[in-house]
Formats: sequence, C-alpha cells, structure tokens
Amino acid sequence: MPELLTKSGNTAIKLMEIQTAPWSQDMSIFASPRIQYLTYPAPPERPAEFLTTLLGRDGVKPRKIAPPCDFAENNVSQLQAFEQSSIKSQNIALLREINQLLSEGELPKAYRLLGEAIISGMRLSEPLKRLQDILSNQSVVSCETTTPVRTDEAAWVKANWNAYKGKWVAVLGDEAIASGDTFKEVLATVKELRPTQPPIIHHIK
Amino acid sequence: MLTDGIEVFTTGLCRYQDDLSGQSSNNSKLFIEVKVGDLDFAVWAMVDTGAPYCIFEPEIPNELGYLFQPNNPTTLSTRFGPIIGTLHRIDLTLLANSGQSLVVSSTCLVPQALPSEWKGNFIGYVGCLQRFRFAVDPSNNTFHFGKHP
Repeated sequence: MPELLTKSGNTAIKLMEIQTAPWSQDMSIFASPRIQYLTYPAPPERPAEFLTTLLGRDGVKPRKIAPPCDFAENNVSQLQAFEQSSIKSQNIALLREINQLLSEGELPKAYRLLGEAIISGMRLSEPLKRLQDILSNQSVVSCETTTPVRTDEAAWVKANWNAYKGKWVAVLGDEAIASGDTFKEVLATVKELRPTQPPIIHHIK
Repeated sequence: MLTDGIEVFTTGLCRYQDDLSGQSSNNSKLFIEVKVGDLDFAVWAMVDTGAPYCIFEPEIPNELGYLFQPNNPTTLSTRFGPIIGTLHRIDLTLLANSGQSLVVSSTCLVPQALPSEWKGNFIGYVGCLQRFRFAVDPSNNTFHFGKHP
C-alpha cells in the first residue's frame, strides 16, 4: 500500500479510486466539478505523510469521511467565500497587468484586455470597472465657442517671467489681474473680479 | 478650415504660442489654449505627441474634484523620474480662435505631486490627441483641429 500510494500521482482522487465498492458512490460525488477544490496536490516531498493525514493514522483503514455532497450543502457560505476569493485573485492579477500596461502608456491594449475579461464573463472589481469607464468614453463634440488670440497674454508672461517666477498669475490682455503664491489665492481673486472674458491662469516656473 | 479633397478635414483653429519662458530659446514648442472641465478660465497646455496622457498641474484638476487616489495609482515614467497619479476622464475644450472649438473627453493623469523641474501642462497623444484630427502650420503658428468623421 505505501508503495502504491507513493506512486499514486499525489491526488486524493487517485488514491480513493482503489477503495472498495462502498466508497464508489461517494467518489462519484467527490469528483463532482462543483467541489473540485477538494482535490489538491500533496506536498511532493512527503506524499505518504500527507495521505496519512487524509486517511487516518493507521494509513490503511480510511476514517469516515462525510459525503462531500453534504459538505457542500452545509457549507454554502464556505463555497461562496472560496468563489469570491477566486474572483478576487483573478481581479488582482488583471489589475496588476492593466496597471503595468497603463504605466507604459498602452491604453488601447489595456482597454482590449478589459474587454476580453468582460466577454469571458469575468466579474470586474470596482477599480477595474472604474478603469474600464475611464478608458471607454472617448467622445469628441464640436461647439461654437471661440476665444480671442492670446498674443498679449503670452507677451505679458514672457516680459514678466523673471519678476513673477514661481508665482501663479491670471492674465487678461496685456495685464495680470491677479497673482499669488498659490493657485487657490489667484482663483479666489479672479472669482471676486468677475472679468468679462475668461483669463488665462498660468504658473510661471 | 482645412479640407481633404472635398471632405472637411478640420473645423477649428487656434494660434499657438511657441515659447512662454522669459529666456530666449531655440526649442519651439506648441502651447495651445484649453479649458479644463467647466472651469471659468483657460490654461496653456503643451501639445506633446510623446506623452500618453494629459497631465495638468494638480491644483487645476483638484479644483474640479479630480484627485489623486492612493488606492488607484498609476505610475508613469518621465524624464524627470516616475510620477504617481490617478487616471481620470476629464473634458478638455480646445478653444478655437476661428471656427468651432472641440470638447474632447480625455484621459488625464492627476499626479500626487510633480517633480520640481516639471513645467506646465501637457496634452498627451493616446489620452487625447489621437481622438481628433489635427494639423500644424508652423508658418502661421496655427493649430488646426476637427472631429474624426
């Protein structure tokens, strides 16, 4: 028996196939795809010890194992937890791959990968759904708004570059209507002034 | 407006600035005027076909509520070192001096912080520029743009 067990392929299923008739019914249930996770490889370095743990200390007479069908029915929450854990792992792996692509600026590839995951029926996690939403909408709409040419504003920035270095400025025409050390400070002044035309806000660096 | 044969190619144009620094430089660039979201002011942003995303100084998208989210980080390598930020979809309006402006739903990286050497705002290719047609006329400093058919 120990020799047979050592060469058994290290799975509980293969070991159980050698059991006698009373176990055969249990085995058909045990091999059900619903509970495939019950079959897992034994540590290759110590298969005999692993099987002893499974079968009981005597190593020959198997201890009573409850039919896996009952196990599944009584442990729905465990099965759900397992399923969720599996989905979570898939999502983590996909998110890692997508983040790698996005870091390389490969937006189309990242978007394609997300699309393939959706087609395959994968349930996307919130971060992946968020990325899918960001990458999917690429709308472009024309509008009738026009703005004057900002040559004067650019000339002001260049002329005052040294004096205002490090500052935020709001420029309209050939003058600065606000300036300050922070963006918020400048924006607050602009909101107070309510200029007729939108100014250009620029950080001189 | 530009045409490609009988088909309209671009529908708006703006005059771009090729230099905004106080130091005379031979490295001409393309700074165009854009409005970010529905903010009541415009900013200059550099057209950068080598950059994947649009990157604005964080104060600007922050004002619209687009923030860096530590649990949604994306790292981008730049010549100033890696930038960690969060991707957001933000509407950018390319303001036309003539013709029609264009509102482009763009992918922007909102950085946690920018390196001290970093200057200004950038419009990237994959996240924005490739979503519409554009052409540059360096003899007039004009940037032409229009929707894809």
